[in-house]
Amino acid sequence: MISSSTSKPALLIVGHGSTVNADSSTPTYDHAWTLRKSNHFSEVHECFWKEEPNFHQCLGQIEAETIYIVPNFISSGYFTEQVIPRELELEGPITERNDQTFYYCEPVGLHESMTEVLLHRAQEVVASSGKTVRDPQNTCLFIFGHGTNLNENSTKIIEHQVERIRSRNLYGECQFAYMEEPPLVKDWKTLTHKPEVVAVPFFIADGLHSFIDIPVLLGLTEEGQPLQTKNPHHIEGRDLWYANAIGTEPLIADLILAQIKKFNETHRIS
Amino acid sequence: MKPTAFLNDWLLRTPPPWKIGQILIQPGFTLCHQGDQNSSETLRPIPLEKITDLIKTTANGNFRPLRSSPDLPSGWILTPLSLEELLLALRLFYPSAIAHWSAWSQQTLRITPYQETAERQTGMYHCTRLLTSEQRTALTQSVCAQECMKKRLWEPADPFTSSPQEIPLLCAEPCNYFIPKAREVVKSMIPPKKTMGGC
Ligand code: SF4
Repeated sequence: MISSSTSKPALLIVGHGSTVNADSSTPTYDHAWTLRKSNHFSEVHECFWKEEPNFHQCLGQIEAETIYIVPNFISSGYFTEQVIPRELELEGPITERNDQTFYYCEPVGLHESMTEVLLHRAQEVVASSGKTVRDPQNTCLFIFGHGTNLNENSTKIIEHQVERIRSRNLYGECQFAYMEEPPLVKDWKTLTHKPEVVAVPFFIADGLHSFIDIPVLLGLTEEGQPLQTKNPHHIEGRDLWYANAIGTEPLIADLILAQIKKFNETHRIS
Repeated sequence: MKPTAFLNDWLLRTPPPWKIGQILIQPGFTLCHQGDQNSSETLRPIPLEKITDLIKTTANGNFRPLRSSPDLPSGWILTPLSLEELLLALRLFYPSAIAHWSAWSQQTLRITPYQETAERQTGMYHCTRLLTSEQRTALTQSVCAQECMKKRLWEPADPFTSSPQEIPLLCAEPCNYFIPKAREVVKSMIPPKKTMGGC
């Protein structure tokens, strides 16, 4: 499925990482472990903007002739368009250098199958609480994002995903809301009047935003206090299920493979 | 020679035990913390997958943003490992270390001076190019020398001679822990309300 050369290719998953938060790199490491076991690749590597190995230093570790590079980012933007190509010295989607060929795929968040991953996570957060939604048509599914002008693309992707989910009529409502621009997460109680609400944060890792900031905006906890209550949260007669960041979903490993497949199809690599 | 072949070759011609950073490598292959070498009976066997949890925090639960900081938790053992598993384990404990050492030994390691790394920065790190050489030296003393076990090959370089049974941890370029610290120094020099070089 994956290689154009006789030997298996290598995979490099590019993550953001953090200098302050240990959880930031966890999803990238987890997806790398899943894909090591998949046997599609001769080597699976990870690199990070904020942790080691960093983008610029990681390439010397890769021995395969063909290397697929997949950014574990939820959208395209500054990192995927400027920082990663610059630091990995990529010349475009395909770069040939010193007997190695680098295939630079699109970030995981851009794949159409993200819709399935979001729906799966929404279903799973309810199922793992031991409850069910009484009536999906009387339920609102929220997709939450950060929403600043800094990365306009991430709001576009969230809105695109919300459109796709709406077209399936699985939930009575599907809406997007942002931390820092309208429609605001903190207004969720007026944005929907449905008695049951499922919310999935569209972030790559469980960091400050999805773990601390959004629960405060939702009114699930106070500033500086960790989230104590469990799903579903009972708020003013309504039930709210709040999921972990979408990037922690194990199905993201499949999206990495799907991005490689899409790259091969686009660039006619057999 | 690629990193795997280089490591294999070195292991074959170097008598054990071998060392890298805070880790002891024994034939078999077995990995443990050097501080645990006399207590192997009581060590907790861990699978390879657990390395990614182990490297992230100190014994007190504090985050380790630098994989080469001298505070790797002890009490674990990895065994038996194939050569490929050994290489993977070492790559997770000390990213790039084997590749850098292999390239350095074959005189092909690219060393990137501070100024070149700083010139490449964009956005909020653009201003790191304004760090003076005195500030850079001071920062290597307060950051690299205090918090990291790597030997710096970029200027100001660390005095360094390789020892026969030890794989060195080499720093070929200012890391992304160092660059934000450089930004803080530059930022502290800029009067409030003035912006300079993207800071
Ligand atoms: S620049 Fe190199 S020596 Fe200094 S802290 Fe970073 S990795 Fe360690």
